[in-house]
Amino acid sequence: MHTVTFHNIGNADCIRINLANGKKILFDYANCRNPYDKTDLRCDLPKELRDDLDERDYYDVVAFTHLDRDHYAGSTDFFYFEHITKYQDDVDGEPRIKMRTMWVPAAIITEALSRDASTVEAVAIQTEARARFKAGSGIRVFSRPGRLKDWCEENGVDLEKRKHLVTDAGLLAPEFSLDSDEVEFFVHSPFAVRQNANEVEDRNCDALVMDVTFESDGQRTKLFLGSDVTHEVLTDIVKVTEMKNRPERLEWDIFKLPHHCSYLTLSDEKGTDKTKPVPSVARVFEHYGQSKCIVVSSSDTIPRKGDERDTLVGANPPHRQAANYYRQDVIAPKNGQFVVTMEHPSTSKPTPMVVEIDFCKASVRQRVLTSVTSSAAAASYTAPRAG
Amino acid sequence: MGETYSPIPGQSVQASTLRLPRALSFLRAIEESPQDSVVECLVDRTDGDYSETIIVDLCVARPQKTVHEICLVERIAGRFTETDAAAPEALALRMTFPQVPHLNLRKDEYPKSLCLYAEEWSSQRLRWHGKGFLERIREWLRLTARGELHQRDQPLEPLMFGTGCRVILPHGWLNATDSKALPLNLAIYDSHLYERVLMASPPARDKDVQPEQQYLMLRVATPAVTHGVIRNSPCSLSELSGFTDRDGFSLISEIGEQLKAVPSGPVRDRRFVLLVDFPKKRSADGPIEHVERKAFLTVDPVATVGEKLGVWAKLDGATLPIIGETTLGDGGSVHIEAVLNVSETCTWDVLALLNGEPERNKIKILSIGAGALGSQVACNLARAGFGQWTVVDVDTFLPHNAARHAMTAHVTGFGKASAVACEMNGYAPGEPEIARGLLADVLRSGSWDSDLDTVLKDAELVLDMSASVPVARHLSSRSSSARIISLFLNPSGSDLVVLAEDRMRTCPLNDLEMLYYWAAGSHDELVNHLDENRGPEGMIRPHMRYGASCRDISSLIPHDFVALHAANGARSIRRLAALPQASMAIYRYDQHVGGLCPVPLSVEPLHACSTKNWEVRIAPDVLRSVQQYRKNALPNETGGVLIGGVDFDRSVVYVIGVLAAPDDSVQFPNGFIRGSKKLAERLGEIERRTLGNLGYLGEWHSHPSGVGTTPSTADSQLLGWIQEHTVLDGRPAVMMIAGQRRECRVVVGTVSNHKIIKGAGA
Repeated sequence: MHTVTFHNIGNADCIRINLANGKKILFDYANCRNPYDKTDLRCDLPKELRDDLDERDYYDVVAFTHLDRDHYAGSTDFFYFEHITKYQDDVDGEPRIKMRTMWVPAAIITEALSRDASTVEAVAIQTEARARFKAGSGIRVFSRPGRLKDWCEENGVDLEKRKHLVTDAGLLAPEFSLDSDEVEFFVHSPFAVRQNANEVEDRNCDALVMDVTFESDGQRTKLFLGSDVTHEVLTDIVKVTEMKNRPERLEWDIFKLPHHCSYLTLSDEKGTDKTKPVPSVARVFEHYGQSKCIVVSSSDTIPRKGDERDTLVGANPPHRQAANYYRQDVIAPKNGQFVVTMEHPSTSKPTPMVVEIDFCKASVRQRVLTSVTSSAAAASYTAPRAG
Repeated sequence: MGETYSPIPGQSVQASTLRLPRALSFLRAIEESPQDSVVECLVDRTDGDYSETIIVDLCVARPQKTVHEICLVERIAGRFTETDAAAPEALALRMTFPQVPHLNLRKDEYPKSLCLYAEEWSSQRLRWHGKGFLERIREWLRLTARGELHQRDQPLEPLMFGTGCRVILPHGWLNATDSKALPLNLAIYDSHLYERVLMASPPARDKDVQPEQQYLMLRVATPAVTHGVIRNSPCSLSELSGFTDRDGFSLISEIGEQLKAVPSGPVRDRRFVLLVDFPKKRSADGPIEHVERKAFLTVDPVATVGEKLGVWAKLDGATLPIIGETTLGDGGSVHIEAVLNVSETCTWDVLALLNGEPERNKIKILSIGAGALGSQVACNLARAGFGQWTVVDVDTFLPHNAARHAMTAHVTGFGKASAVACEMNGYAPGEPEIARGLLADVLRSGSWDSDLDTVLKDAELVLDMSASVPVARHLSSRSSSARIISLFLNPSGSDLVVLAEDRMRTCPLNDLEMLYYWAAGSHDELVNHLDENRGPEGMIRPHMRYGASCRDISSLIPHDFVALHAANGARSIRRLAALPQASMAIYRYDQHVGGLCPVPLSVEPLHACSTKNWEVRIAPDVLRSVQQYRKNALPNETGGVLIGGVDFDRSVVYVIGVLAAPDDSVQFPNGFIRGSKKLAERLGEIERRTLGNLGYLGEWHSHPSGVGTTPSTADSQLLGWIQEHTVLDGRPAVMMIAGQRRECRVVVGTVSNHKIIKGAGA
């Protein structure tokens, strides 16, 4: 069985994939919790991750989908940076967690970051990514290789010798395969759009969007990891993928909503009570979503109508109107589930949400407080007394 | 579209008014479970039994791909009664809740009652708590959604609820005939039982059987059926046909055709019973895994059933076939009195399987001794279908035998051998016999001689459970290829001794017996092993005389000790029969531990040599010891006493143990004078501990290097001195001289009568 764990860390992302073969992959890391605030219901992320890692001190892959704080906060207090000495010592007596391979979009290498206190961690991740790319190991960059040309020239890196570290959109990340790991990662973004016969335009190079296919006893289950992309990017992804006649790459069983259930994922117009998605995005959700699918909003609780969070001009996500769209137009007809990380299993006591994937496809694990676990079937029987 | 739910009888109340402890425990569990919510609480007094019901919306980890349509949130009612006589019930209230496996059968189809536990409420209630109940329901729903509640290795569900009745057919009886119509008699032995058991027998066996016990059984096989939902038992042939008829199969037509073949006459007066085979599959496209067999009992005679189905018409008291095109009845008027589970009598193979033996061991066994231990060991093994037996004993079962024998006083006056064999065969009646009894005395000639010879020649294993040294020695000396395993108890009954020859018989039982005595005489843990007067718990136990003869004596050993050792003995035989090597073990009941503890003993084949008139058998340990003492004493000579026994019957001298030089001995380079300090006490102790089977045999001494083992003049005189002492017992004098290069010279009787043996290294 594979599991995908969505951590309850408010409007932030940290998704852990545990493969049946023992490999572990982390998408983003954001520890924004205030440990001194007892009303802060966000989970203790480093503890959750360390508990799961147990004796292990590494992830096979850590992906940073883009350099927004809600996707990397606290990384320098958790990960072991191979190329930055000050991020190598133990933290609170615990060894740092190694990233055997980093996955980043090209922008993390090429982006010019402002250097101030607020971006220290982003700069550290960029520095580590650049150093690994220069060293030629421990990293995969998602983009067309050409996108990195200028940066390589400026930094004296022979791009030709780094091509094996770069994966273009429309391809599979070579670290995993269905044959050996029962999983494959298809890259939707960053991607290029062909404008005409000669011209290719690179777009949205700053976020990593992936379609993950799990296999278990021959049954496939698909997870769409949307990073923080907007409806424009989603529209482009739909167009490119359909143009390439690969609709299966748009089908999904589990959808990690971009940007914490923001209406901007659906449309520029929020709507009064329900956001109306632009046509291509509507296709993503309504056409490509599978029966009994699971939509995950990695976000704070959904505000109620008239709440302060709802009425504020320019209010941050999650947006009630977007949630209403998912609930009414996506989940209800498909008999699926809409899960908000800070509401699972209840708003008063949220816990990390685990999706189990096996031959029955995806199911949301129900938290069990007692020892009555999945082995309960056997445990409910007392072996007959031999006589 | 809103769901509709089954109504639950009762009056809606506040949760705070509930008072039944189990209901409160369940309520607390729901309140502690953040994803679940209480919908309503009800109390009900309508049927006299006060009950409380809690309705909960319960979250289920339903997967995307489901076998049964379970919802993410299921509305479940937990119902608790004040009498607490049955398990709290979990009811799925959704009207669209699917028909799935593991539902309790109820009078009304809705609400569905979930079958949560396999065990009886009386056991389950000891551990029941609300949280466990809640989570068990959740897990039941999750596994049902996944189609995993009925686990892959779990047997298929029964097709219909039984009525607590069973018919037992002789094994293989049905397979022995092609006839679809079988006359048989059905008898109930104990009508007071909750589960009625009918024993079937062929009609020829009981001549005076009552008419209501005489049946004619028709046999039908239905098309394959997929297991899953358990149904109510049918009350008529019509209801049964509603269950069986599919894929063009018609039960009534099948019965009609068979009835037509039933000849007219008294057979049609027999009552009608229908035997139906239901081939079962786990899934619609799966293979047939099991054939469920049920018998449907009617009170109607065959003639009446034929009439009711329209096969025959009654005219002037006779049943006549209906000629021409006829339409058969639907069988609604043929009432089914009982639905019977069908069993067959056990086979030896089944008994072996039930004893944990995947394959039955058919080893040919000659078992000597059918006393307390022998009878119980043999019966234990026969219950596992182990072996093909000839049980030999000359004794008759007397009243006092009932105290410890496998048989009861019903066999008083019968020969033990035949009684035990009969008992053994009784474990699988109808099967080929596994045992025969032979009234014989193996030590005496008699009419049994040729029979015993044949059996011994044929045997693959001889079990000596005679508790008789002469019998053991006699068996050991017989030229047979069958290995012997000897089992006996020590006098107090606290210890079981198991001596097993190796498969090639290089360690014959006689040698094992001597090694066993040496262990009894020398092993620290066996100080009181052969103490005749000490009981299992250390107390003094007198014997009891049951007759006037001086031999009519029976030891006072508790039956539970014999049973304990017989169980362990049977287990040992099953284990040892599969091992090629010789072994020797003593299992002791330890009252402090409260169980059997093994005393570890090792076995080595004896060295054997023949001298004039005597065969000498020497334990390798003796040779090792004298060499070690010699080496330690160099450059002086040393010596001591030889311990052993003599079998005058077979002219065998056993040199089994050795004692080192007593403290007051004198050792010098060319001589040795054995002292006597504490020697008599030590020898006395050995004789006591071995019941006189081992004792002083002779002397040994060493020679320094370079002089060989040839007896000196002094040695010859020593031999004469030994002779003076042993001659009174009729024993030969034995002297052993240990020299260099592990050489030992054994001298028996006279100096010229000797053999040189190369022993194992010191």
